[in-house]
Amino acid sequence: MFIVTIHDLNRLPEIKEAGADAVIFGVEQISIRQSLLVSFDRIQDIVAKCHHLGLKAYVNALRFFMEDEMDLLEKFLEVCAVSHVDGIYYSDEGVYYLARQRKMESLLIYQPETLITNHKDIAFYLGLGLQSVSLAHECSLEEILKMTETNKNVEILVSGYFSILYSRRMLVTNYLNAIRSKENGHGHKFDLIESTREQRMPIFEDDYGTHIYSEAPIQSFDEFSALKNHGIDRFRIDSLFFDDDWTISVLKAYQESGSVPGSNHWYYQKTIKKKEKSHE
Amino acid sequence: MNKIELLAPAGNLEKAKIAILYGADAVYIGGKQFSLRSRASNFSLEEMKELVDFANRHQAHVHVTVNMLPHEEDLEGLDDYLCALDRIGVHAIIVCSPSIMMRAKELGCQYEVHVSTQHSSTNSKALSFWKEKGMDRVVLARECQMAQIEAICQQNILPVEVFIHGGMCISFSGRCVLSNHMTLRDANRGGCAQSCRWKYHLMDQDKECSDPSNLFSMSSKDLQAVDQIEDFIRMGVASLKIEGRMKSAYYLATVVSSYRYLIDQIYKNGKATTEDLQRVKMEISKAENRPTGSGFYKGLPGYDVQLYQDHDETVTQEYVAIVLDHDPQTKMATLQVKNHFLPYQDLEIFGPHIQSTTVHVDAIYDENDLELKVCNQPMQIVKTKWEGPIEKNAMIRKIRVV
Repeated sequence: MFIVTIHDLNRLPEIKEAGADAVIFGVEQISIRQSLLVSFDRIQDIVAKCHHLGLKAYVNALRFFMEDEMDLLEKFLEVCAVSHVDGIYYSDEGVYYLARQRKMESLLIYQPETLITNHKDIAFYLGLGLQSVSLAHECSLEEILKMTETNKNVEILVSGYFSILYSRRMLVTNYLNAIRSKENGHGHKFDLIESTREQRMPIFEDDYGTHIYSEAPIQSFDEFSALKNHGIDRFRIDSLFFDDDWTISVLKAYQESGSVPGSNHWYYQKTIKKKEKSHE
Repeated sequence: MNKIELLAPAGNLEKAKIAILYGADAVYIGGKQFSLRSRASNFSLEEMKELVDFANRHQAHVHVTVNMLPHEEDLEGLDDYLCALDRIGVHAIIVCSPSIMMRAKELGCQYEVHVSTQHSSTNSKALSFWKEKGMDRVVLARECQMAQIEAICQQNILPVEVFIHGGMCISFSGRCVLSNHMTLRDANRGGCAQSCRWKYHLMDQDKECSDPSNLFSMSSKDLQAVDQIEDFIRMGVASLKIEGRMKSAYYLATVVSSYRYLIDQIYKNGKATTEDLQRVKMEISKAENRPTGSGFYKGLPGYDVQLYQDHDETVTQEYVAIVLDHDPQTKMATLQVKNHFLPYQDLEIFGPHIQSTTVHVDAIYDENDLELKVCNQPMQIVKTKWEGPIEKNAMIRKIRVV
């Protein structure tokens, strides 16, 4: 199953034609790190459009919700229920609790970007009745295959940039204010380059904080067969910082054994646990 | 309602005992397995047992961090470790992985299971979720503001623990792998390289928006919540947590005793006076090596709560000696030197039961009764006649010129 993000809803038929099984869109006040944001009153219509084309419709509810936002969250879940969305991505346990009260837990996909790094935690979350769990990006291919020996109902980001830091602070605005710059840091994509290196990491500040992304978009063309043959069936493609043409080319590449620029080095990289080991 | 708990960090046995002696109701430590601060100085099981026995004698608790996010290779030995902690008699474990939380409960371990701040619990519904799973306490996300914490506490779902002092992650806890990408050191398995504090060029495509002489950084000032303690007590927060398992014994003694004094004053008088707050802030400043701010407790942090310029984080030279023993008859004090200092000057002493007091020190002698011109060998044992308040484990420091 290919689950993809979308920029222009007019491109839904092409996205479907290219091989997508589901699209993810964002909702104002609810989503973060999403290419398309719509208002609450458009959700039902968009879901209907997706279903008409034979696409599932997923919604991004990935941010953390503060105590004074529980009414907002309840309203969002109500709209999702009425609109018959097929899935909701979340990372705040409060979302699960409220969704479960409405018997909507089977719509949920736990997607904290990090955290899910072993089979026991996969089993815990699937045991809550979720639709799926998204694996941490920092796991190698070997680790992914090992931790999904028994539970295959996981989701993997196979192409696209992914978040490596999520802060509640307005880090870009704060810095520009500190240096008395007239630049506007909010709602605009910048890049960070560490002072001794060359790689760029996209950084984006929205109303809910600051997000820093991987130094390259992941791509999994060499690993795709191994993942599929292992029994994993949910593959996410995130077009943030790209466009729908990119998504279509990526979808085709996965189905026709092609490739699109990106990096797969995380699949072959082992991280170090102990500080001392880094000096060995 | 139980009295609020003052919870202090400790990187080794000596620091843990100092924290308890100086007024911590509980200490949290890491073992040699499954802990986020993966350093060689973490506690062995034998050291934990010694600490638990010490803590029990002082009516204090020991919490153990089991807060690593394990990969498959890290899971081996988990059951044995959880059961060992139970046999030792620790009061609680602090955990991020839900499967580890549940496993501790399944094994019938008697200690409490606290949900780590790594889960970034920001609302009461998240607390309700953890309560349903059988957890005993939640460490709130540091991003919660005062009114939000109060609203959560009012619902009385689970005991709530909040940070009041120490280093702050710039990101939501657990949601940062910057270190993994910059250094291969896994932030969620104890190897965080604090890459957020490094310097970066901020680029808008090919245009540099950063100041080349003051590059972009994400370093936060340390948290210092002296002004908020009274409110936390009023709200019904269960535990006030000081961050800093890497901090020195001197830092711990200063910070713990300061908050201890403030908490006790508030319980005694019903509130903290302006003088109380000023006194505590002054005391704490004697051990701080990094600027502090209020974190999220005064709203969304602006640039004034971040650090952009390079700054010295040198260990303070003010702490000069610790009291090993004293003879009330002869008034001779036996001290262990910590940093360079001279005889024949005014110094300041503070201790578990001694408020900061200035004392004039005259001649100082080595163990062979030879008078010293200077004390400049750390760990050296020296003696001096002490005409002022003194107790074992009290600390002596230079007087800062303001």
